[in-house]
Parts: sequence; C-alpha cells; structure tokens
Amino acid sequence: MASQTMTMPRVYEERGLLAWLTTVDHKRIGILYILGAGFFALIGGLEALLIRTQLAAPNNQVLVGEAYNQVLTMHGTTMIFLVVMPVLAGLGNYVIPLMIGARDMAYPRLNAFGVWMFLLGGLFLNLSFLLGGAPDAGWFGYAPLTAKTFSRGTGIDFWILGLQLLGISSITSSINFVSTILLLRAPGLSLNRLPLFAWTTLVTAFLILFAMPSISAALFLLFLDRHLGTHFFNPAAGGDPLLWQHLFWFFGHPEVYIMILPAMGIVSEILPVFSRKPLFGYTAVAYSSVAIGFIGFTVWAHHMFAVGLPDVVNAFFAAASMLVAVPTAIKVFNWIATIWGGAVRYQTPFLFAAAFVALFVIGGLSGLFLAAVPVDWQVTDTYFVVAHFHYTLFGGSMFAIVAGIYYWFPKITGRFLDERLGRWHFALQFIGFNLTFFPMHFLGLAGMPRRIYTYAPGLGWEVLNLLATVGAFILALGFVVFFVNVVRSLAVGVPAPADPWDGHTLEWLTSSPPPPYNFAHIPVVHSRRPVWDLKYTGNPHPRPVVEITEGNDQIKEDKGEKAPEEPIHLPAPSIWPLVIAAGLTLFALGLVTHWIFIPFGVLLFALGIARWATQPLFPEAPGGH
Amino acid sequence: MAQNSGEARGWARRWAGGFWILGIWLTGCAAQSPSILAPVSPKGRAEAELFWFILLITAGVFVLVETLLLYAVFRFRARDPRAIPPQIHGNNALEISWTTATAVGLAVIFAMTWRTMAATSTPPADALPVKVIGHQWWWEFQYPTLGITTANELVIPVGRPIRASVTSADVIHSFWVPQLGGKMDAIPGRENAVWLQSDVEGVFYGQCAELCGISHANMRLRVRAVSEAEFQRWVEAQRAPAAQPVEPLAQQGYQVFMSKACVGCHAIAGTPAQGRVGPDLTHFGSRTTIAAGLLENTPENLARWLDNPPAVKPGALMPRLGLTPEEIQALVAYLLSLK
Amino acid sequence: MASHHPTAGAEITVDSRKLGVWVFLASEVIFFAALITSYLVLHNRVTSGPTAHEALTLTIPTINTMILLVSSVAMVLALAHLRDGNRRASIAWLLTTAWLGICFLILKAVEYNHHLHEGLTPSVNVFGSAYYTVTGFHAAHVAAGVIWILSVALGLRRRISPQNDVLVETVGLYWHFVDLVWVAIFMVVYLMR
Ligand code: HEA
Ligand code: HEA
Ligand code: HEC
Ligand code: CUA
Ligand SMILES: [Cu+2]
Repeated sequence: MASQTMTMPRVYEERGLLAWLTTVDHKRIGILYILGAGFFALIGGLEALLIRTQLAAPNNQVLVGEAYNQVLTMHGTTMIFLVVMPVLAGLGNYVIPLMIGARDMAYPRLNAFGVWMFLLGGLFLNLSFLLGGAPDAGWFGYAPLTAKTFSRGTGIDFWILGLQLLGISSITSSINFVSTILLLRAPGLSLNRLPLFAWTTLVTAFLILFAMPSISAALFLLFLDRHLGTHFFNPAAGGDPLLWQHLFWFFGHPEVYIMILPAMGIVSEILPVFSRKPLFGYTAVAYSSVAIGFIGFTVWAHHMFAVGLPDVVNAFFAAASMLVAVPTAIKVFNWIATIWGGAVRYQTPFLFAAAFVALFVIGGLSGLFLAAVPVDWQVTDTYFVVAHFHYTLFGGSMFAIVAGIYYWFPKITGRFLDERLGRWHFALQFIGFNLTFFPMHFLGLAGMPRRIYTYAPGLGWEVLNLLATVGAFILALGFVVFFVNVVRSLAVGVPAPADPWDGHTLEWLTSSPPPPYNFAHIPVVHSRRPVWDLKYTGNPHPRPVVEITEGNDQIKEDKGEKAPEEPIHLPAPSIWPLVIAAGLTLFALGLVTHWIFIPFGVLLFALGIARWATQPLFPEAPGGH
Repeated sequence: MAQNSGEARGWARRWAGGFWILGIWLTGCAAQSPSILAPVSPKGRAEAELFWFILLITAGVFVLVETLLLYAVFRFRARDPRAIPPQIHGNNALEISWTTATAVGLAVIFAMTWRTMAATSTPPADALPVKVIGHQWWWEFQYPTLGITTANELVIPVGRPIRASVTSADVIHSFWVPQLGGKMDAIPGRENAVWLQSDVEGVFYGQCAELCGISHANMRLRVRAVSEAEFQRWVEAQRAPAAQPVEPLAQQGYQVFMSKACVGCHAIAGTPAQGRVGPDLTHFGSRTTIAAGLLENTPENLARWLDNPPAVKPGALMPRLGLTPEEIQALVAYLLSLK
Repeated sequence: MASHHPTAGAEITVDSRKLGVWVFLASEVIFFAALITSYLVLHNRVTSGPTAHEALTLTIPTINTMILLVSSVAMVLALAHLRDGNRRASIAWLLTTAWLGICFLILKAVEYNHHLHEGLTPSVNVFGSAYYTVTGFHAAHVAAGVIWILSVALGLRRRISPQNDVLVETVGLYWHFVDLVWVAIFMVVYLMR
C-alpha cells in the first residue's frame, strides 16, 4: 500500500472538553452546529406548542398580550436563525468536505469561529427571556414598533445585536463554503460533477453574502435610532418606516431561499441513491439553483404589497415572484423523473425526502396566490401566509433536514438510526404536520389575521384552530420518537459500514465515522457518481465490483493516477476562535445590559485576534503560517 | 375587453365550483366567518374571483404533481433490493416541455393578476372620502367632507364607493374588512388610498392585520353598511353636538367627566373636552361596541372598562383612573346618553 | 499547507486567502450599498436644521479624496517592492499608506468637529443621521484598515517573502476597496449635495 510513502498525520488530542472547545475539524464543527441547532429546535418547538395551546380555543389565557408576542417573535427568530440555517450549515460542514474529497474546510479556524459565534449568539438571544423580556415585534421587527418610543425595554436590543452576532457567523461560514467548494475539490471533480448538495450550498453561500449585509445595515440604523437619537425610521422627522421594510426584505426574501436551497440539495442527493438511478437532468437541477438565487434578489417587495406601492412596482415584483416558480418546477419534475423507473427502497431517508417533494409543492403553490397582488391584499398577514411558510419551511426545509439526518447519521456516528422508530417518526410527523398547517389555509381565507394572541368565538375559527393544536402535539410526539431514536441508536444502533446506503458520492468512500484526515488518499474523480461507478461500472451483475469497507478508501482502479501524494497536515487546534466569539458576545451584552462587560469584551476580542494572527495554522509544517 | 375578462372569470368560477369538498366547507364557514370568499364589494369579488382562478390552475398542478409522485413511488418500489434499473440521465425534450408548460401557466396567472389589479386598485373618482387613522389599539374615522369624527365603527351607505385614506398616528397597522376587499397598511407619515364598498346592508367584521404591539389582537372594527336614507339620518345625528345630559345621574357623570383626566384625552363636541389621545366620544352611545370592537356596548361592560381598562384590554393606553363605583355609574349613565 | 493551495483538480487556481478576501469584499459592497441607498432616500427630507447643501463644504473632503487616492498608490508600490524582493521599501510604503490613512481620519475628525459646531449632529435631522452613519462606517473601515496595515508592516520582517506576498496583497485589496467606497461617498454625499 502507498502508505509507506505517506506521513501519518499528527492527530491532536481527541477527547475531553478542551478538544471540543479548541477543535478546528470540520466534522466536529459540523456536529456542534447540528447539536446546537437541535437544542434550539427544542426551544423553538416548545414555543410553538405554547402558541398552539393559547390558540386552541377563543379567549384563552395561557399566553396573553406581550408574553405571546415575545414567544411568537422568538419562535420565528429561533426557527430561522438558530435551527434551519445552522443545521444546514452543520450538515454542509460535515458532509461537503467529504463529498468533494477535501481534508477540511478552507479556513478551519474561521470555521470554528463561525460555530462559536452561532452558539453564543443563540444563547445571547435567549438570554433576553431572563434579562427583562424577549423581543416582541415579530421576526421582521418592523419599525417604528421597534423604535425606542414604542419598545422601551431591552428585548429589541437583544434582537438587534443577537442577529448581528449570528450574521457574522453566517458571513464567515459562507466565505468558507465558497472557498472550500471552489478551491478544494478532488482532482477531476469539476463543477459539472459537483454533488448537488455542494452546488446548492455554494449558491446559498453567495445568497448569504449578498443578502446578510442588508439586514446588518438595517439593524445598525435601528440601533442608532434607538440609542443615538438618529431618525432613519422616524416619520415625524422625515425618516421612513418603509426603508426598514425594503432593507429587511432585500435580505428576508433571499433568506427563504437560503433555507430551502440546501434542503433541495439534500433531497437531490437522497432521491437518486434510494432510486438507484442518477439524478434526472443534473445540469438543469444545478443551474436552476443559480436561477432561483438570482431571481430571488428581485422579488423582495412581494412582502410589501399592502404598503401602498404603485401598481407597476407591485406588478413587477409579482411577475418576478412567479418567475421563480419556473426553476423550482424544473427541480420538482426532475425529482419525480429521478424516482420514475427506479428501484425504489423505502428506507426512512427516502420517506422524508419524498414527503419533502409532496409538501413543498403545496407550499410553493400557495406562494403563487400570495404573489398575485389582489389575492395577497386579502390574505397577507393572515394564517394563509402562516400556512404557506410552514409548508415551505417545515414541509420543505425541515423534512429535508430530517431526511438528511437519517441519511448521514450512519456516516457521522457509525451507527444506523432505527428503521422501525424512523417509520413511526415519519408517520407522526407527516400526519401531525398536515393536521397542524393545512387548516391554516382555511383560517386565513376565513379572515383570521396572524400574530393575534386571541380571537372572539363565533367567527368560524374555533374548530380549525383546535385541529391545528391537536396536530402540533402529534407533531411534537413525532419529534419525541425521533429523539428516542437518536439516543437509542447512539447506544445500541446497528453498526454502519462505510457505505450503508449503496451511495453515489465520495463521503461513502471513507470509514464511518471518517478519520480526522477524511481520506488517506485523495481520490481522483471521473464522473458525477464516483462511488457508484467504482461499484458498478462495466459490471452487469447486480453486485458491486468493490465492497467499500472500512480502511479501504481508495479507488482501486485509480492506483496509477492518485492525486500527487502530499504529507497530510492537520491544522492545529485553537482556542482563539472561541475567545474572539466570546469577546464579541460580551461586548454585545455590555451594550444592552451594563457597560462593565464592554472592556472585557474588547479585551478578549483583541487578545483573540492578536493570538490568532500569530499562531501558525500548521505548526509542524516547515515555514508554517 | 372588459366583457371578455368578465366571461373568463365567470367561467373560472363555474369550474372552481367543482372543488366541492372545499366549496361545502367554505360555504359552511362563510356563513359565520368574515371570509374573503364571501365578498360583498366589487373589489372583494374581483379578488375572490382571482383566487378561484388561481386555485383552478394550481389545483390542477397539485393533482398532476402529486399523482405522478405517488405513482412513481409506489409503482417503482424495488422488489429485488439488488436490482439495478436502467440508468437514465435525462431527456431534453421532456425537460424543455415541462419548463415551457410551467412558464405558460404562470404567464396566464400573471395576466389575470394584472387585470384584476388594474380593475380594482384605484377607488372610483366619485367615492366618498373617509380618513382612517390607526392608533394603538383603536381606529379613528373621519369624514372630511361631512365633518364627522368617530371611532371603531365605520358607517357607510350601501352601494356607494368609499375612498379610505389610511394612515397611522403611531406604529404600522393594517386596515382590513375581509368581505369588503383587501387590506391596506396604515403607515405613519403616509396616506394610502383603498377602495371600500358594500353592496348589501349589514355589519362586517374587520381587524387590524399588522402586528402593532400588545393588543394587536384586540384592535377590531365594524363596518355598518346602511341604506342611503339611514346614512343621511346618521350623518345628521353625528353632526349635531353632544346631547346635554338630562337625567341627574348623567348630569353627575358629566361633572365627573369634565373634572377628571378624561378631558385630557377625549373629545366631546360642544363641551370643554377636546382631548385627541383617545376616541372621540361625542356620540359614543350610538356605537355598538367598546374599546375597538372588543366588548358589546352595555352598561356592565362599560363599567368594567372604566374601572380598569388594561385589565379588559392588555396594554390599553387608557390608564386605570381609580374611579369610585359611584363615579363609574355616573359616567356610564352620561356616556350612554351620548347618542 | 494543504488548505492554501488548490488541489490539482480544481479549475480555479487562486490562493484561498485572496479568494476569501474578495468574497468578503463583495459582501461589504452590499453593506455600503445599503447605507448609501438609505442616505439617498433620506438626505433631502430634512424637516428642520441644516441641509446637506448648507452643512457640507468641499475643501476637506477633496483633500481627503486625494489622500486616499495617493494612499492606494502607496499600497501598490508596497506590493511591487515586496515582489521585487525589496522588503524595506515595501515596509516603508506600507507605513506611508497607514500614515495617509491616519491623516484621513484626522481630517475627518476636524470636519466632524466643524459640523458639530455648526449644529449638525446625528440627531438633529435625517440628513445628520444619514451623513454621520455613512461617513462614520467608512471611517471605521479606514481605521480597521490602518490597524491591519500596521500589523502587517510590523510583522513583515519575519513572515513575508517575495514568494509569500499574500498578506500584503490581501490587505491591499481591502485598502483599495475602502478607497473606492470613499470615492462613491464623495460623489454621492459631497458632489451631489
Ligand atoms: C423555504 C421558504 C420559502 C419558499 C421556498 C418560498 C417560496 C415562494 N414564496 Fe414564500 N414565504 C416564506 C418562505 C418561503 N417562500 C416565508 C417565511 C414567508 C413569510 C414571511 C413572513 O411574513 O413572516 C413567505 C411569504 C411570501 C409572500 C408574502 C406574503 C405576505 O406576507 O403577504 C409571497 C408573496 O408573493 C411569497 C411568495 C412565494 C413564491 C411565489 C414562492 C415560489 O418560490 C414558489 C415556487 C414553487 C412552486 C410554484 C411549486 C412548484 C412548481 C410547480 C410544480 C410547477 C407548476 C406550477 C404552475 C404552472 C402553477 N411568499
Ligand atoms: C423552520 C421554521 C419553522 C418551524 C419548523 C416551525 C414550527 C412550528 N410552528 Fe412556526 N413559525 C415560523 C417558522 C417555523 N415554525 C416563523 C418564521 C413564524 C413567524 C413568526 C412571526 O410572525 O414573527 C412562525 C409562526 C408560527 C405561528 C403563527 C403565530 C402567529 O402568527 O400568531 C404558529 C401558529 O400556530 C406556528 C406554529 C408552529 C408549530 C406548531 C410548529 C411545530 O411544527 C413545531 C414542532 C417542532 C418541534 C416540537 C421540534 C422541532 C425539531 C426538533 C426538536 C428536531 C430537530 C433536530 C435537529 C435540528 C438536529 N408558527
Ligand atoms: C391617558 C389618556 C386617557 C384618559 C385619561 C382617559 N382615556 Fe378613555 N380612552 C383612551 C384611549 C387611548 C382609549 C382607546 C383604548 C383602546 O380601545 O385601546 C380610550 C377609550 C375610552 C372609551 C371607549 C371608546 C370606544 O369607542 O371604544 C371610553 C368610553 C372612554 N375611554 C372613557 C373615558 C373616561 C370616562 C375617562 C375618564 C374617567 C377616560 N376615558 C380617560 C385614553 C384615555
Ligand atoms: Cu394595529 Cu395591529
Ligand atoms: Cu419572499
């Protein structure tokens, strides 16, 4: 074996808390993202249950007025910024370097900084519950409700600064994804062979880079309005509340594609594997992501159809919104065609992925009603919109995320999730989801506005609300089963081989879980499905040529043309990313609570930067820097 | 042209009637709900028709897509787990055709959208102007040409178009009466025009539709559509100054009102009370609800309100004034006499 | 070194740190675009207090524009000298760049001080709010740039060689970007006042 010529990498301390706090390994960072998102999902889910309990019957008194508004705002903010975005970043972090045959992300320490910033930013946001009240102006915080005059407490400040911290996390992780995917692909892995999950993550990274600064600027302006007495959103002094809306939705709309594109990528990985066919229309599916990304920047004002914009402006944004349906439809039809004629295996990842297609289509179609301006004048800010975005975000993103977790769990942990519990989970989640959110379409049509903590009896809203609440508890039960499944499988789950699903892409070439350096030999890629081809090409028999087993992670036919051997260097662990993130968080805390935290924050930040800049990334490499 | 579009919409509606499950459910609910599918205004009808039209197309797409998906999933289930199906990478003709078909479907939806917008977005020129001002958490209505100011209940003549100029005194609200047509945001510093109309007499439920703080849920309103004759009577009554209290209890209430903080926030025409912070109370007794549609306007409810407004309506900007039960009884008598 | 050098298969060959800075700056463009747009929307909605036309003069901003343009040239020279193997000259030009950046900040402070005496504050009206915010965020970027340049210049002796000019090149990219933003601000805020 070639390993005689290979320097075995120095593997750093593996266990213990310190190892995790200083890790720069993309796999551990991915796990931290996923666990963090899971924790916040629990909080966001409990908040949802509180909402549904309050709304179960008219004039309920569980969560009244301000308390409701806080829980509502934190539910939306949590699910978007602390669950869906980070779990997608986490799966991307874990899987993408493996998929493209890389040893790590392009900037391992920046990557660690990103995850710490996410975790601390998320804790910071939730700290508001304990320190004087959570934000309560909804997840898009419209000015002037968020101005000091109407929101005296610190909730909005927590929201502003929390989102800034999370924004830093998203920007850094996006820079990392762009560089990683563009620069670190294995030999032969050209862009038109790139796995779809990597494709969609790449597009998403660009969306984040171009969308995030807009909300970041808006949040700064709002903060200045609140604390320096500027007038950006103060109409009495010539400021403009609509400026907030434009800046917010210039971010906010791309944001929803930020949450769906990687999910679509996951589904585009899973459906082919479980149908044992290549993805139908690979090129179209890949480029339609780019198209969705581009068009996604030209539709933001469809969230503002009722603010009194001129007809032509509304019409433009309506047309652009409808245009997005074309590339989306391309994906939907290609997914179905992928399954068509396949040899479909009903394992849990497939069930969730197929349900994604079924449910996302409903969410997409209801989006068309919203894009039709006169219909939107009626249903905007009603439960019809709530139904729309839960079908896209939950039926879409969340179903795909859960599918992805079932799919990559064996790779990450070396054990399968239990299939039988998985089916129970699926059934409960599918039924619960539809029972919760389908009636909301009718509630919206029946005139029920969103974000109301109570309603009068006799408006025809009672039964549907009760159904939705029952559904939410069934849904929650589904997640309990999921949780049990995860815990049980970690302990006693069936051990998973390197290639548990008969996979297509490179992550299935290395052991489960992979070694710290991912691949002993960087594989050379010849097609879109390197691992499939390795197993089946030129072999008419339904048996793989090569059994992919642990430790056998090189492509055998490629013996003659492996990537040039380089000694493997793993980046050294570093505590400084955590220190910098902690410094920024303390600084933010000081701004909202007591100034005393500010100097400590600045100190940690400066120290972290200085030490990071002088600590070599690869200490053992000659001339390392 | 206009006739064509009418025909097309009628056709859409007939077909849409085919969605009978939905239809039955919706008619069931429309009877009691402020449903957008039970419109009583030209604008609301146009919007509902567009809804049905889009539902026709999307329901078709829905059935098609879900059928194909389910068929594929069930039909192609692998019997032999090792079986390898033909490896098909794509089909240009197929891909081009579904892309084109989608584009055409969307173009049609957009065309209908544009038509409906053009037909409904501007109020007719002869419309009766009304100014709608959102406040945390109640509605102020002014009839600039009639010199009337009232709150929380908008009275309009049947069949006559109303041009509502919507704005706000504080944060953003959204003015919405589902059966009379789509909503319009009330934004401080801006005036947005929206067209209302009711073709039948009746009371229509409405509600603020933009999160505006603690009692957003309790910022409700009613539109009362009355015959032209009744409207004229109502206008006459509203233009008169407030009724003088005659009963002794009411007279006592008048004294309480004028000596307490009430005058600082409320206006009663023809009296020293000229506050503009809270609703105009000149003809409070003629309204059917209190506190932005939250409670029936009965003596008991009014007493509850005056005793402790924030307890009735969380966050209410009318403070608890520490009135004695006697003062409250007197105020109730006075306020309800303001017909 | 694996992560700084592209593997053989990738079509795109560029140092990953350089790409990272490019990508970051692309994102910064949107940030400043949002601020400048806000300025454009608001600056002449003044209800009371000084307007842009009354408050702004051209002398200091014009000098500042010159300063930043010259500093960009200095930055180019710093990189060129480093590539020629002339480390000392390179350091000298870096220090010049940083010094020009400091001059810019001093003049900016003088200008702010002048405004404050004239009664233009961030809270006096929307123009004041937008003006200080746009120029303030830019100045903060200049300040960060100065610190970055100084730390590169001080570390240069030990850590930089003609073959490894990426530290200077990346800070240079950033610096040119900050200059470009200033040119945009100069045109939008001062010339169009
Ligand atoms: C993952 C998230 C996600 C996704 C993918 C989408 C996708 C779309 N959304 Fe949605 N949307 C949200 C999340 C999402 N949305 C959220 C969170 C909000 C609310 C924010 C808030 O207010 O809190 C929102 C709100 C929202 C509004 C504003 C509503 C309002 O507040 O009044 C509008 C209006 O146009 C809209 C439209 C659309 C459209 C046209 C699409 C399209 O991209 C959909 C395209 C897909 C399809 C159409 C289905 C597949 C296509 C076919 C099968 C082809 C055949 C079809 C035909 C020929 C008809 N969305
Ligand atoms: C992805 C986004 C997401 C998700 C998943 C959900 C999930 C749920 N949401 Fe919500 N929701 C939003 C995004 C989301 N929501 C947004 C953006 C708003 C708007 C807020 C605003 O108006 O400002 C909103 C608003 C909203 C409302 C409207 C309230 C109002 O307008 O007054 C309601 C009402 O019923 C509701 C209900 C629910 C329910 C019952 C669930 C349930 O499905 C929850 C059940 C879930 C769990 C119990 C746990 C979740 C998952 C796990 C524990 C496992 C995951 C594991 C890992 C990630 C590793 N949500
Ligand atoms: C600080 C201001 C303030 C004071 C003082 C005040 N009110 Fe009010 N009042 C309001 C506001 C604001 C509302 C609207 C509350 C809402 O519906 O949310 C209101 C509502 C009302 C209503 C219901 C009106 C309607 O049409 O729904 C009545 C009746 C009323 N006030 C009577 C009184 C009386 C009597 C007093 C004195 C004893 C008084 N108010 C003192 C501010 C005030
Ligand atoms: Cu006013 Cu909601
Ligand atoms: Cu959108």
